[in-house]
Amino acid sequence: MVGPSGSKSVTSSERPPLMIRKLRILLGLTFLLGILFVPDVGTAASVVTVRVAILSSYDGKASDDVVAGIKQTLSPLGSGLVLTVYPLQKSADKAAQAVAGIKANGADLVFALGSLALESIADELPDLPIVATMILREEDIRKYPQATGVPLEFSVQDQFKWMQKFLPAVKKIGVVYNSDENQALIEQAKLAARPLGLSLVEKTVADPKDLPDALEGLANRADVLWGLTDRMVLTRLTAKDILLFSFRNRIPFVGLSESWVEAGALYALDRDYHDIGEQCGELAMKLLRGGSVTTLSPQSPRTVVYSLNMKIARQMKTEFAEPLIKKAAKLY
Amino acid sequence: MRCHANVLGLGQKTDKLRRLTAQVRFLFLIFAFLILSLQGFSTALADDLAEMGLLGDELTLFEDIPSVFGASKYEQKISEAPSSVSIVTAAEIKKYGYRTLADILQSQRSFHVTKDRNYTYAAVRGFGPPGDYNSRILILVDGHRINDNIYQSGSIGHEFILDVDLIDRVEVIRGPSSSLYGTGAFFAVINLVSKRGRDFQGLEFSSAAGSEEALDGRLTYGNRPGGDLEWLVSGTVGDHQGDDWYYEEFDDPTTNQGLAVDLDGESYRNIFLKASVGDLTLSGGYVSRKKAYPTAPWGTVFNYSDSETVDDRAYLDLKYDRSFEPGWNLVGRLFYDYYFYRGKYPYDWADYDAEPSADPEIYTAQDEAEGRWCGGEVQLSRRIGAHQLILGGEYRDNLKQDQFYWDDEDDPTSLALDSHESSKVWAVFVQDEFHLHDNLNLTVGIRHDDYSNFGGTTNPRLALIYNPLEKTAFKLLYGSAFRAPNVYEQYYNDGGQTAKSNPDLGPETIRTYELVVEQYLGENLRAVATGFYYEIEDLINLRLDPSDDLLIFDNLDEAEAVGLELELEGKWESGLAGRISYTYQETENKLTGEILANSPNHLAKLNLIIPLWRDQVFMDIEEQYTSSRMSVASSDKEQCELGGFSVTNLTFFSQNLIKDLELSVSLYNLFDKKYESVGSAEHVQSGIEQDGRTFRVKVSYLF
Repeated sequence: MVGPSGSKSVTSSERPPLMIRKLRILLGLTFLLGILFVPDVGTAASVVTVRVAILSSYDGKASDDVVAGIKQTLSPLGSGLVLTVYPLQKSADKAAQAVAGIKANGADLVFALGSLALESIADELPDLPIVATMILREEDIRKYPQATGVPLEFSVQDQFKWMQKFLPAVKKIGVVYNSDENQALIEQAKLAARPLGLSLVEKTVADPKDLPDALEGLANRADVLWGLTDRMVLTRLTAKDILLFSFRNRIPFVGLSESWVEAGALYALDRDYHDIGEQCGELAMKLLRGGSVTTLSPQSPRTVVYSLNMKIARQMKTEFAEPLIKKAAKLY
Repeated sequence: MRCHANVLGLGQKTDKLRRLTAQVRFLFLIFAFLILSLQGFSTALADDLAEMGLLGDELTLFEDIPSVFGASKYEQKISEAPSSVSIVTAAEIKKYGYRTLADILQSQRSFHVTKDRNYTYAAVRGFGPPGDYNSRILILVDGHRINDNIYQSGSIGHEFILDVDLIDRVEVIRGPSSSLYGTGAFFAVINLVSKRGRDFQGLEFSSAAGSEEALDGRLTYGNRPGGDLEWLVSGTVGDHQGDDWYYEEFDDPTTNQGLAVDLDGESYRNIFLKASVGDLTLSGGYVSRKKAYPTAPWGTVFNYSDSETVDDRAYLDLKYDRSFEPGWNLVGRLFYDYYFYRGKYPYDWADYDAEPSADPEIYTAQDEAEGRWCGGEVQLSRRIGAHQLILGGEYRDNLKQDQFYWDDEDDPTSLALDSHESSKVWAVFVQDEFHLHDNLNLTVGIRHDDYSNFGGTTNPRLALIYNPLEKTAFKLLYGSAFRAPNVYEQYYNDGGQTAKSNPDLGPETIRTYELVVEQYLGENLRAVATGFYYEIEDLINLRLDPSDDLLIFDNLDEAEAVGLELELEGKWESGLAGRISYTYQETENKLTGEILANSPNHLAKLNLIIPLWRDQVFMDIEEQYTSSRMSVASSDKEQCELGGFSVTNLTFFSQNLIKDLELSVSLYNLFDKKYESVGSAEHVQSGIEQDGRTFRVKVSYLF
């Protein structure tokens, strides 16, 4: 059909009108863009606001590094990201205020740094996705179905392999623990030790006051004292007992962190907290893109750093291999 | 030195009742304050703990952990102990240049040491009867009793069984501890913890040279090859020429114008071994020392070359220490000990002739004693709820307690004393440390000892320890103790010439009351204040029996003491460390009202370790002040007041300037102060002059 303008018309079966074609092209492009970019919240963020909260139980460099790592990873969200940091300063009251703030303002995802933060938010907002870290054990995160994250504890196998690097002559690993808390871990440790040619010399305590006697029982039996996270055995209050036992008996103590090494442990495996922040940020991005917590299991820290106390090494009459010294994150 | 003919006039009678009342009021007020404040402090603590409970296990990773370097190495042990305790570490022994246990004790608050140029004596809190051979202080090496079974002497000079380089730490426990240790734990217990193979892990050689031709050498090998096996063996030899000494009491042409020449020498050798396999530890030692004496005690000939004493001591100790689940700990010990003493005493028999002749007739009398004993101990401890219980028993068989005396060492028929004794002792004890509250502990202990020769004695101890704050401790202590009469006091006689035995002697007893306040100030300072009151009964002393004019030991005297100790101790991570202490003490013989001999009212000590370069070069200073003391009065010697004195010691110490090399240079009595120790009843001298400025250079190398 030819219209009044003289232009050649085609039937609908031959060719669609220009408007229709333009619309189709537009729709096609939109679809293509949709396929390419819709899962990327970064672009969508230009039009969608994402509310994220960080609850930080502790002040200090480790927390600051984690927060910095998180921020770095979330930076592609650009101006659509509304990030609020709640410093809890180890205070239950401040935790309650933070939870109230999140309830009032809403949040798409929460980072919980430390047990206080996790427990405060998880019970109050059971449907809110949580990425948790600065928490020791995986099971402490797994007990909340809406949470994933990066627990701090290294696997027992990894710890023993590192121990053999630092102290190749060690055969008997002394450990003091509270069986109510750590019996399962000790059973794991026994299994992990055997293939490495190591054995555990264990002492249990049911009361912190039993600690000095338990330690003395290791004086002639253990080559090294393994620091195990234990609410009864390893606390700020018992630290001096343990470190003095180690110092006096020339039995090196494997600390839990750099601060333990500074105080008198021979060495400690530690974490790169900025990298842990980035790891957490990556988990968060997956969740924000529609991922499910059930498919994102907690992950171990992917970077191991360590610190050494050379003064203690002299006291213990121990020498580290030169490459180990060079690679130490911190020497005391 | 000021001497007085009127001995009794010197005694300072004190108003005991007023003093005691004031003490009781003082203690009551302080204790009332503590109890009233108990609730408030404990609530605050509970709040803190509750807050900590909200935080997870990860807290241990992020908290600042108190550094082991900034703290006194054994502070927990100190503040929790039911006594006033000080610790001296191996590092301090090196840095201050201590040569003997006597040097270590001299640096401690409320201790002062005297030397009669033969033996060395430690006095505590004003009690230091001259010539008591430290029989009222219990000395332990790794828990093994060192005091012998003849004189109960606890040697602290070179006749001590352990080289000071082998001491890991010294625990100085003031006050009585008979409720745990039995006899001898009267004024103090000195527990030395010896080093182990792991402290050397190789062969160490040490050599020292010093003034008065003093030479010492030590060779030690120790190792812990891994697992349960660990061992150490060490040997030391020493030879000291000594000095020539002038005594005005002998300033006469017939006695070399009072100059004793070549009579101060000392030679010694010792070995020590320690081997552990798991729960079993075998340790033992042997020491032999020969010492010449220049002071002519016991009326012997002055400046005579045969004046010497020999002391040998040895032991073997097998210890089993095992922890059983849940919370049981068993310590068992078997031991065998040996002691030998020989003294040579030259006498001029012409002095005893009816008509003394100008020609001397010198015979050397010989005194000998030999002791052998064996036994065992067992101790079981367990925590049950709020109670930490210790149960134990001890059995000691004094197989041999023999004494001999020959008028002439070359004439076997001149045997005047031939005493062969043996005895048995058994004891049981129990102690409960009861945690009444989070910050309040009560320790109750009691021990019963039964001696085959004089019967039984029971001694309790009570200690209430209150920690209102983490860094504050109050200790209210009560204890009683005893010292069993030794066989020398019971059985020594010279065949009825001048002395006779007294098998019926009973034990000396002491009751003590103490209040100790310990306060940590910040991370680096620790302050201690102690008030004490002692009451002693049945002190053993010599008396003349009017029925036969023979000397006999008897339970004669009663004494009391009151005093105050103050100490401030600091230690910093830079290596700077120091201690300053002051002790005021007042003693009195309750029967005569006199001040006890060798009992200064004031003692002050300053110890300072100054790092000069990294943790490798140190300058270490000691200042020790002792106020005036009264000497011993006897029938031929009037009582004198010996002037106070202050002595400065300086040591430069370096370690690892060359790897595993230690070097020290010490100057003792830096300002060459002239001072005297109180002489014993057997000395003519009221005061015995001590060393002037001396030096020592010492080098140790670990291969």
